[in-house]
Amino acid sequence: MSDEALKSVLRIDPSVYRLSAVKKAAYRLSARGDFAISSDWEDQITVAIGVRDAVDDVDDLAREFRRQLLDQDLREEIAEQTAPISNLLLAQAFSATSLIDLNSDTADFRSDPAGISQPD
Amino acid sequence: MSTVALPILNDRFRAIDAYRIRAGSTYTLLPFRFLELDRTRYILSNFSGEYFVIQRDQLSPLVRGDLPMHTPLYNELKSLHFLVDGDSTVALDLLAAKYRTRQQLLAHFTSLFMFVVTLRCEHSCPYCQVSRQCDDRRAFDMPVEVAERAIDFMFRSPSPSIKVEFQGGEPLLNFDLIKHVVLKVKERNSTEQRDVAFVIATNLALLTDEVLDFCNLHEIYISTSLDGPRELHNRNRPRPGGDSYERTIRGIRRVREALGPDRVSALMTTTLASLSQPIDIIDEYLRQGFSSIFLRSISPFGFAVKTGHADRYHIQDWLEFYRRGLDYIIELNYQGVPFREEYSSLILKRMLTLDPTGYVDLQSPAGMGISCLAFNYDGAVYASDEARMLAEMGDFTFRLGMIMSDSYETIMTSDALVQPLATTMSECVPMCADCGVQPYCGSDPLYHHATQGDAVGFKPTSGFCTKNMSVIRHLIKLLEDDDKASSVLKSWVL
Repeated sequence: MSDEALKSVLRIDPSVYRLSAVKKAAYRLSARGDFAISSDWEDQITVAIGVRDAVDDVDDLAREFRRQLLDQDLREEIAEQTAPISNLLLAQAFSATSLIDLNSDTADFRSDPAGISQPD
Repeated sequence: MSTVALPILNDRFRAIDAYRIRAGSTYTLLPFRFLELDRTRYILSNFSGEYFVIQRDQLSPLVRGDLPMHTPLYNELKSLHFLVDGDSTVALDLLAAKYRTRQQLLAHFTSLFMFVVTLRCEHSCPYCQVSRQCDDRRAFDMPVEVAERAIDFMFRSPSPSIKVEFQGGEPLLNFDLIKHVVLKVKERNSTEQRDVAFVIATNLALLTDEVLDFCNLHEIYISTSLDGPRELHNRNRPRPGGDSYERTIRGIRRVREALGPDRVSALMTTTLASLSQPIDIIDEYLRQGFSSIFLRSISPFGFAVKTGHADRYHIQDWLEFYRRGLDYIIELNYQGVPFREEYSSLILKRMLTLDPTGYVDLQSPAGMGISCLAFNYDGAVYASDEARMLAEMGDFTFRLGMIMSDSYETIMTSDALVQPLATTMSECVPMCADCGVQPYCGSDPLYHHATQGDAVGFKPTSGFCTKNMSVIRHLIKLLEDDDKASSVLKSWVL
């Protein structure tokens, strides 16, 4: 089998997939294959995929890479969407005082439930 | 009819429009991770350790905000804290409280202290990491002054509960020191008022009436080794006379008669010879009156590596052994025989309750040092029992200091401890950080250091990762797809 048969090259649009997702997908599959990641002259991400074991199928690995890429991109999206809440939850979990005021978004500001109009 | 009461009601309850506006038409995702369960489903897990299985084609709409609201799926995800809408602050506060509960052991700090009172042993088990065949007591026995210094060190831990575990070699070969430590700890605890428990990890071959009387008087528990039926046990655990099995079984019976039925537990180690006989091993535990078994893979440390035992089977072989054993145990439960598999129980407890379990191998930050410590016979302090086994092979990476010359502060803030704890937290390392089973797994820097030469480890080829991902996926499939198995598994932890 030639070296070419052991390799597959994917071009990925960085406006669709994050570079970090590409790297993480490659990392997850790195027990099965080698992944050379670069960007080409059109600013597309290029991933050259090679199998580690000659009995493995490079097309199958490339398909698995695409599946992982979708998953990783979703993970990145979840992380982006939830980063502020994640930080708030960690701070709330380990702080001595409550950072979440259960009354703040339902109380009438005129009743001043937190007493902020009172001088110290 | 009078309508006088209505204005008062209206004051107390807000108009229905107020709730419509607050509920809104969109939802907000709460942090969660996911992992493929099989080709059609994903495991989602969130901050509080709740898990949920979702179809592959439902995940992307969920993340992109396109999941139809107020459907059964939506309501279930909302009730399990994967998303919020409207009155969000209550859910956030509850989620933070659950997360804090799951991390509660961190505040308690070290609670398990292993005293290696001697390395001497009359057994010569080929997979044993540490034992020595030696008559020279001075060479491998812990001196009294080392033990006393270790007791002082132990009481510096803020933990409200302390477990003292006597390890070896065969610790009963230095029973005088065990007696000394127990009495000293109890004396000290009369002012400390901690919840103290004692365990002797022994092969029971040297059990005497004196030992039993002392254990009875001081409520000491016995942990022993039982690898399976006679032939397998004696093959794994050779000693002069070839009668390890007979002595262990006799010892178990004597402990039960003298101390009570629940004061002795047993552990097995899976060797190459064990792999083909999970049913026979489980039957042996049943025959000996145990209500559970811990199907343990061999530790890749110390002599197990030196003698080649750790390399003689692949983790996939152990997984097949585990699945066969678990299937059989579940079948026993169907037939009305209550029996548990302990590793599954630990993981299920982490999945189905807020109990963090305290099991050292499945923690992040890792349990070494901050959950357990080992005082070696020679005064060296190790981050765990496995750390001293590694040291016996000449690798002192996880030696935190020397009890006779280093302070509590020096040892507990040593680079040998803080560095691996900080760098290996599974919340932050590649692949674990966004893995759907992260809340139920651990980081185990020592395993990865021993097997891959790096405390973080390379997770795509990590045996630890393969083992735990496979076990957790298997348990979730049983919970989701097999009602009878699910009811058995839940009965072990709920």
